[in-house]
Amino acid sequence: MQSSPPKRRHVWFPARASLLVALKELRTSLRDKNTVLYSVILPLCMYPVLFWAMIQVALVVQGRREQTTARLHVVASNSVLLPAGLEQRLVGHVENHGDEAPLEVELSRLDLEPAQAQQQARDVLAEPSEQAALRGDAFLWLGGDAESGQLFFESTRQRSRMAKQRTQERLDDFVERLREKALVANQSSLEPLHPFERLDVDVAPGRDKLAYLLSFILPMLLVTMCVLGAFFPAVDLTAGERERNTEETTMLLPAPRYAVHQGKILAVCITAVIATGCNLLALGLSASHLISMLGAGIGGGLSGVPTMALLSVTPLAVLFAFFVAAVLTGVASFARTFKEGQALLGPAQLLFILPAMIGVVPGIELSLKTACIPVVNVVLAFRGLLQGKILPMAYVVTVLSLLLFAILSIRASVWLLSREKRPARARMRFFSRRASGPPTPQIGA
Amino acid sequence: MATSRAKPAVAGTRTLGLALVILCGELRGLLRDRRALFAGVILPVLLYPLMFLLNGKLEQVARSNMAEREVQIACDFTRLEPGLAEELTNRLQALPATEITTLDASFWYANELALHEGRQDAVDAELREARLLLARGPSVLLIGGPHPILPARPLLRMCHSKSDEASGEAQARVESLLTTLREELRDQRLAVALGAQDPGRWLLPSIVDVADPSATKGAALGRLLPVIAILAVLSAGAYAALSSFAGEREAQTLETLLVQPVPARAIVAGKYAAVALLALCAVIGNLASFQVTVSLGWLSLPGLDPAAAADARLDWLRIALALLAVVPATLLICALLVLVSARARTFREGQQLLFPLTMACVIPAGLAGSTDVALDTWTACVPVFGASLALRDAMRGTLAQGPLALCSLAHVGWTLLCMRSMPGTIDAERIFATSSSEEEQTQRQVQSRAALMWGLTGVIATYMLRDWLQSLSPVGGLLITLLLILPALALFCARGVAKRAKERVVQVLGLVRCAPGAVLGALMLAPGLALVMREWIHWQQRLLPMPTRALEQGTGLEFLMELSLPALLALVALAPAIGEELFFRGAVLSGLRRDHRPLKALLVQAALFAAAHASIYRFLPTLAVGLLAGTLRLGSKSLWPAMALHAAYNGWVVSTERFEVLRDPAWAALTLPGLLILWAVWERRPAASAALPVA
Amino acid sequence: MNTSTAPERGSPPTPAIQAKALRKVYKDSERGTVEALRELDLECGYGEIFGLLGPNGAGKSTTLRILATILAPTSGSACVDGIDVGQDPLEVRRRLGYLSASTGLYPRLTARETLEYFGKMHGLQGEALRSRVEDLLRSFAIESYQHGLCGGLSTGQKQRVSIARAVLHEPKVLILDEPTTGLDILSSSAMIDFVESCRGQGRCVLFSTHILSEAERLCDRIGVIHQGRLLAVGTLAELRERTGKHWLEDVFKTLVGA
Repeated sequence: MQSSPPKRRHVWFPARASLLVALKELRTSLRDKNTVLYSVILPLCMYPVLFWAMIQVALVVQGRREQTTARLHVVASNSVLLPAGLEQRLVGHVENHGDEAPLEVELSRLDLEPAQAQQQARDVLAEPSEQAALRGDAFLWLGGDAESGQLFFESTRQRSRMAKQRTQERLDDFVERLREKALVANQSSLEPLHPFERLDVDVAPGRDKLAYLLSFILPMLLVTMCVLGAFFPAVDLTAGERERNTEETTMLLPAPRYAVHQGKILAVCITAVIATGCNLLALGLSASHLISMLGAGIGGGLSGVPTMALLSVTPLAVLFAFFVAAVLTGVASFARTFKEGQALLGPAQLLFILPAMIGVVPGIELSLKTACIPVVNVVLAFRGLLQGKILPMAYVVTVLSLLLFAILSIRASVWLLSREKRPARARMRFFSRRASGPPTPQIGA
Repeated sequence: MATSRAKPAVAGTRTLGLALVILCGELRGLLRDRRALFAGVILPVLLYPLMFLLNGKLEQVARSNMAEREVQIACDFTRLEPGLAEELTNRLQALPATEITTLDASFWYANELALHEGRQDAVDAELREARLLLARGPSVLLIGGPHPILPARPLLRMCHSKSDEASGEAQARVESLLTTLREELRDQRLAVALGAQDPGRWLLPSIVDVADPSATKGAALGRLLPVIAILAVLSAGAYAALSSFAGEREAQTLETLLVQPVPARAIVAGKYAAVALLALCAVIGNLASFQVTVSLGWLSLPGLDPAAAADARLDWLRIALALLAVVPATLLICALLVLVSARARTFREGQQLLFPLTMACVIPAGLAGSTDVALDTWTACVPVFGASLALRDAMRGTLAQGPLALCSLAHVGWTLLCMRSMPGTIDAERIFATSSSEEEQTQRQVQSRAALMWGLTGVIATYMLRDWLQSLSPVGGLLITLLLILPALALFCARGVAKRAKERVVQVLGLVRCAPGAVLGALMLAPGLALVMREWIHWQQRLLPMPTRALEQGTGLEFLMELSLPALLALVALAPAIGEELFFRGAVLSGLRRDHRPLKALLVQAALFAAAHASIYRFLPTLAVGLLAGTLRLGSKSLWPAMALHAAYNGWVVSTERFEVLRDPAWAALTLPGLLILWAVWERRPAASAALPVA
Repeated sequence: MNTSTAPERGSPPTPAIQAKALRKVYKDSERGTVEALRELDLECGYGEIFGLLGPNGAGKSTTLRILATILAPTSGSACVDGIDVGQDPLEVRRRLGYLSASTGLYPRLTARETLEYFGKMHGLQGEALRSRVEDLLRSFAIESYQHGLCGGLSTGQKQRVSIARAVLHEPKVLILDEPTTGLDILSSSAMIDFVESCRGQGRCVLFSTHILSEAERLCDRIGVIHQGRLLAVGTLAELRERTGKHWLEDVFKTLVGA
């Protein structure tokens, strides 16, 4: 054979072959209807639908809650002075307020001892109650002094919580007005009601606030989406290839096997990045839509996209995607069929999501120590970058350790992929290679 | 054999026997499959201990981390009255892990009036100043001084940053301190000013929660348990269903089974029983491990005091009730899993088909736990959701027998319904069908599938784009959506349909001449339709009340009321009639009709139309309008009557807001002549109504 | 490009395929250690069609896969076109065409893309690649369905694409592992025609089969392999002479000792 072209090929050929393999894998996976559906179309449609459903459910639940009537039993001692309008206020009829959520009030005058009051409260709140007339959702006992005013409720029951909340709010409001009137009548100022006034000023720009909010949500999301996005192609390119009978075809490619496997990992990584990007884009669009729909109350403070913060996260995210792609491709290489691959999904996900959970705990920060733990370091670095913290050393260590782990995992999974189909044999070979000093030329190396 | 099959009774027992044989075979296969065992037994059992331990650990770390966080609070109380200043300083200094520093607040003193009035330059300057000061170390700035308008009242200004963890923690500490201080000072001063006259002394009760610890704990668990139980069922059932249907189809052993002299019913029943058994095993193991975990006191849940959780035991009755609630749901979910996975040709396809089902089961379960929807006659019958509610109530200890029985019955009923259609899923023809014949089938429905895709695209596009455009410009957004985006989508969709059917686009859209009587009749239907809709919405309000907040906020269309009548009619009546009719009745319905029967096409089209309005409260009304307009479109073969109806209906609704006269129900009487005219028009051309647009 | 002619350069002492004392041992969790090949020697020359004959599990596929560098031998050595499979597997793969029933086509690439992909891998570029692909498309009559995804082709069409893929780089050595298994009569006869056509082009074809009639018709020499050993090698006439049987079936049975 001619000698010069092959020689020239050797220098660049592996990289070119990797790229060729990656391109081919990408092209084929984009032709797979299911892959496109699940990594592009589904996220783009799922989030708007999901968020829409959330709003509708919230509206329905709130509407029904507002319409639900709660029952309040009030027992006041004969001696207690009940100011005029108390019952009306409790029921919810107020001027210039419109109708409020319905609260049925049953008021009776009875002198009770504290123990008796407690017993009656239990009778009223018992469920199912023996006496239908006695049934109520909250029980208010007004015994005449500060010690004996008690509002009983049952925190595990929704109606009881509603009754308690409505009663409390309306009583507070009612008493406040009474106090104002009494102070005016005493010809003293209203100052005792206001010992001091408080004013909270939030000085963070809307963009930073959004970034801060994202710093708690995004890292976990990025990790989860990246893992989910990478897993499917990883199984598709390993076990799937076996199922499609093309494994041997790939092994016959006149390119170094490590180059082929690297190409595959690259393809997995790119697919994962695309899937994550689509997911985040759809999520971001839907979330901003949601915020704008919810109106100024919730979304008002959050304005402006923290572009710089998001951009600063991107390189790290891509690096992380490489790491994930390499690890998952390695894991998936254990599967002989797609079915087995799917079964591996759970444990593989846990492998990433559990450390990511630790990273979301507030108070843990990126330090030189945590920067060396894979996954945790990425999550913490994402958070730090989004919060605009300046920790140059820690970031450098994170990037370095991530790079190290990425390279290690790429090498490991290339090795895993180049194994012959019988793992026991492969393990033997691995040990013998390490023992024998200078690497002997191996098939597939 | 042959004679025994002739007798139905014997055939029944025979089927049962065969089903049992298949069940045994399936179970043997599943139990030998290590992964099935893992998903069905080990995972559900280990889930709770792992989760609780992890969650508890994480929460502990988070809490201690935040409590130990060193924060710095910079204060300037020089202009505050000395008593309050001293009290505040003392209390601040008593806070743990908090350092108090002094602050030069001259900026605030110089600008207090401008700040109070909210002048923009002062507010901006304050933000700059505060950011500058906060950047130097303190987490929170606290500035005291007299109120600029009411000099007797002190004003405490707290500057913090919501984009900083330490600042958030410091703010929380200061806030709780200030709240208590304020309450204490108030009480003191009120006692001085009013003494025994203070109505709060006898009217403000203390709050007593009579719930016992086990109920609290049950309630906390009730939030969580439905999701986890349903997940356990799904994880075990999905694997079993996939491997015994899709997996077997992939391994081509289903073929072997189908050529045996066994009725499909028996095969499906046996396989279903195996799947259900494994799922039941998972859910029972899950609940048992849950009970063990709880009695070991390993529980840690959000919103639950760990000390209270440790000594409260959950009685077995609750677990038993929970089991009763979850078993029918398990049966139902397994039936659904079987139905779905039997459709898959390969394991992989099955996995993807199951994803939506998983979501459809997990989301209701999560909702059941986290919202306060009551278990009543209606909700008990909703698949999965009802059972989740029952499970939640069982944990809370408030589950009554009536709803439980109803819920179980409903779920068993749903399951039976699913089981009835199960044998059809493994009918031999489908299994042996080669991919080419399946492709052919999908080819045949290409028109309707394209129309559906376009319809969904239109729905999503209007939902996302309309609101965004309207936030930019209310009128412009509406116009662009209705007159630009929807017609454009309609054109694209119709072009595809026209190309495939070799027709003209105008014909597909229905922009063809029609009898003027049809348009007139459609116009006359509007008042009656409006009346029916008004009554319907009135009635719906009782069943599905709108929250007051939403009523007050309105639909974001308030600006319409300020427009002049012609402008209003153009915007609300004409524009939607053009855009929406072109898209939904013109393009989508016409595409759907080419593959589906009229009723199905009408329903699908109307559902899309209703979904585009993006409100559950308007879903049924818009669905009805969509159906009516669609009927007009199909009946007259032209779009004009549908457009006329839509425009007239919308116009009538907004006009009644303006003109009292139009509210008279008597206007609805126009409907009758309208119907008569339509009937007459179609009677005259019987061929027209019978010959529906078919490619 | 690589159109040099090895036989002219190489003298008879350098055979196209040479295997010496090949051993292959698998560790199997169920069956323990399995010796798939025990000291197998093999030699075939250019322009020769060599048939490897043996029952299932005899070691045919293992041998061929070792030669194709898909598996590594436990011990022993093998050369293809003068290159040691252990020393430079990459170069071996560049010089060899391999085809078996399990060498599937990527279902989501079109026939043309498949050829282009492998062409690029073999270092072809630009005009050279295009003309070579066109050539192959024409000579294997793939043109009519060149833009169809391989997953949707019929078995016969797939087989043609596969062969085109295997000979794309004009290898001097072709290894075919049971190439006719699972093919219908027309396809397998097309395959047989193809193998025969290779003889004229000076290629070495090593193929395994358990269909005796095929071996009888095609092979210059036949090797009978059983339980990892090569029991006999020779032309059909030599084998007949050695065993004293006429029909290859009987020859085979006698050699295997069944």
